[in-house]
Amino acid sequence: MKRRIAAFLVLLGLFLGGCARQEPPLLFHAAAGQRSALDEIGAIFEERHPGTRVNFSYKGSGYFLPDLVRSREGDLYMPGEEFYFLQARDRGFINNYDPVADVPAHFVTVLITPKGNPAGIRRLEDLARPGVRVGLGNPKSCAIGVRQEKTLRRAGILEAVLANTRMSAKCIPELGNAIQHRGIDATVVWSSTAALYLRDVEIIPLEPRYRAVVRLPVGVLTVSRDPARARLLKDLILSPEGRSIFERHAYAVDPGPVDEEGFCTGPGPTDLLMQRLVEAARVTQDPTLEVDEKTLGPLVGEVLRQRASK
Amino acid sequence: MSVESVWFRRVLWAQLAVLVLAVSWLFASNLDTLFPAGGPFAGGILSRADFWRSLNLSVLSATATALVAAALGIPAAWALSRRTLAWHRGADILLGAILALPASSVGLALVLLFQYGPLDWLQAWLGVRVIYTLPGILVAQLVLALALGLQAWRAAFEALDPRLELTARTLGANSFQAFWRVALPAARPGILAGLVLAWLRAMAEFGAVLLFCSTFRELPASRFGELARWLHVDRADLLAVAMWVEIEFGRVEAGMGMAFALAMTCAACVYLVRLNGGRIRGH
Amino acid sequence: MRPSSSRFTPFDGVSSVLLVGVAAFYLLFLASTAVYLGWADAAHHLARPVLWQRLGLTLSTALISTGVAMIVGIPGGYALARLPLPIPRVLATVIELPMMVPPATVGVFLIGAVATPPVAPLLKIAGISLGHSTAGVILCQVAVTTSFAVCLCAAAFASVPARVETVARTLGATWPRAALGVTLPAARNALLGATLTVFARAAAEWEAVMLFVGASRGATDVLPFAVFLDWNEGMMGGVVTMSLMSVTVATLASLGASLARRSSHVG
Repeated sequence: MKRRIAAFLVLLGLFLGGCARQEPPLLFHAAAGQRSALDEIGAIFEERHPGTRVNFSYKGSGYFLPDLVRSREGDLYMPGEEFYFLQARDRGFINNYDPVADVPAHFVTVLITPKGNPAGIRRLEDLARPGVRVGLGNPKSCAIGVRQEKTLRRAGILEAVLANTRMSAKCIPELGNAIQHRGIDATVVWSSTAALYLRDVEIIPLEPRYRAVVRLPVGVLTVSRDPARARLLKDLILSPEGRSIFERHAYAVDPGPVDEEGFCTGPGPTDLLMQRLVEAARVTQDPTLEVDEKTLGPLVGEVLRQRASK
Repeated sequence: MSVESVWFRRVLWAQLAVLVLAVSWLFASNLDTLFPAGGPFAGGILSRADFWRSLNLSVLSATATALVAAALGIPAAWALSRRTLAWHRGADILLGAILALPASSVGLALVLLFQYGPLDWLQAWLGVRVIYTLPGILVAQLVLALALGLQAWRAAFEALDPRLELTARTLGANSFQAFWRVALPAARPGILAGLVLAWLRAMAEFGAVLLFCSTFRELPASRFGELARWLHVDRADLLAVAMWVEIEFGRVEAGMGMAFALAMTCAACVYLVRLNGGRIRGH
Repeated sequence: MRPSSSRFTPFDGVSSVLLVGVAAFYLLFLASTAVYLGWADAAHHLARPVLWQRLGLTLSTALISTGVAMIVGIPGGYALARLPLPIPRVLATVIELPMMVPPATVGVFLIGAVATPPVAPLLKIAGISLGHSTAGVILCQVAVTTSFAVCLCAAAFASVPARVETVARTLGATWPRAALGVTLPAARNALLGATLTVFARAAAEWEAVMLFVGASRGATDVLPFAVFLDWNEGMMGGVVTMSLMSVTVATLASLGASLARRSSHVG
């Protein structure tokens, strides 16, 4: 009995000692909607720099500032909208922000419904129809919530849609899940989130005046303990290789013409993204259809992955 | 009494003292967070309406869950106590497995059960949905509260002297009368302990509710029904969920205040049961 | 087993239906995870190494936490069971409290507990950082399960009559020897059952981890926590497979505990 106790204590000591000796990973604060692309980029970075680990802390964008102020820990930052980046810059967490060079990709909004579109949603205004179960993001905690509010206000249907709201999500993946499980009838999400659920959603592109294109800057934090390595990761994200990874996850690298509020002013490159997204959902759901790189573009990889299994 | 006995007893008391001190310190070391310099007590939650609604929701839903669990579980435990050994062993393993499940698996299983398969068709046919609603909280709490209650109530019925029932039968009682007039009153301390255990387990539910019901605080008041607004449980999350939200937003004082509110409620409950002579064992 | 009355009432029918209904619901509940997944998808996801890493992390942290909890629990439980005077109600309430409150609350209290002396300076000297680390996970598991272990061990020791020790002592054994040499082996099976139950509880702990430690891939993403984190990923298959692993661990531990407890009673 005593020997067993001693053995446990030795194990415990070794374990804790081992924990203390590990090299601290790079801490990357990123918006919850960025996970698909950043995980892939992080894996490539770790492969190229053995011994370095990247720890992604995915949250709703509204939680970043309180966390940064309280913990003062972190190496990189890529929130779900430029607004949160500027917020951090104004608090002294970011230096030298270049609005042109430091933005690798953009989010684009799109309407999604569960497969089969049970409520028959065709356009944004349908969300205000009585009886439609809508999911919205909480504007205080996630970037999509703020953008949904702006979009609905622009369409003049904010009050009506709020009355239809069944869930108020802390972060965007909750909305995607709710659609997947048919807990809600419709919601507006980023195209990159919609691309995660190709098996279970129907994609309905928004008309340009309601379609938002959101800038996603990335930066090294001033409180970083390893700014040199952090900068290497940032460079990877901003490189052509990094941008192609974003394209593969249905981000828009080229936003096209956009007004001051962030909405499209007319036809642009996002139309092609929308076409491809609709096609991708169609092809993933129907195993008899052929996977054609010409129509799907960079989304081919996602379609193949999601066709393989649940 | 030998010298070793005296020392041994002191060692035992000392162990107990260490346990009590460690647990007390776990809670007491956080008291200073409640009194932040230059800020209101506990982040001002006492003056926030949503805090009281959350407390309300937690207490009311736990009570409702415990009552439903009792209505379902006490008769079921009675039926179980009269079954063969195989039933008992099966129940032992099944209930033990359910109670050992992580809350995230419980929530996930609830989503799968209610959104796919027969329950999905039933809900579509009836035109109602349980997921993402306030009644969904009851369902999520019920799964574990019922399992815990069943364990306790079965043990209570098992512990009864079989001669009581034999006597009742000899005097002409049928099985319902044997249950209602003999077994239930005789097992009352165990029954009450099971009820309180179910209530406490329902109060402690957090993970399963997160996955199955999501949050309610930010929804507009118009989204809730008359009953919810009259009971003041609209636009509120369970206290444990609200505590988590506060911590996530960095409002540690408010989160700590809610944590203390939860701890004091549970402590009061456990103490009251002991006061009445009952004991709580197990989960 | 109770005597069954020869006079049937509707109550018998109702209670039996309830029993069967509840049993069926719980069986369906456990099976739903596997039914949803199907063989092909399960095989696809089980081939991914990250799931097995997480399983390994979960089992190893739970093992260490169970060890610590039982090291505290066996003597503590013995004390609770064998002390001649009844413990004051307030103290008993305090000891039971960590297992009665939501585990998330325990995580919140740990935030302050490790930031104040005497723990904070100790951690600094040992060079251990608890945030985003496996040590933090172990601490959360220990905090949540120790109280539980003490109470389970107390029940295990209470099932061995005190007379046994008294007899041993009249035969000349000292009290420590009687306790270790007689009571402990007699309670062995019940203690084994308690250990397995505590292990299952430690392996299922994630709410305190979420609030206290935070997510860190490879270091703190134990299976139940990973289910919650990856829940937001869209690939239900991976999430459900991990949940299936958790359910399997819980069921096996419960089976083991039940077998152990059974062999310590006489029917």
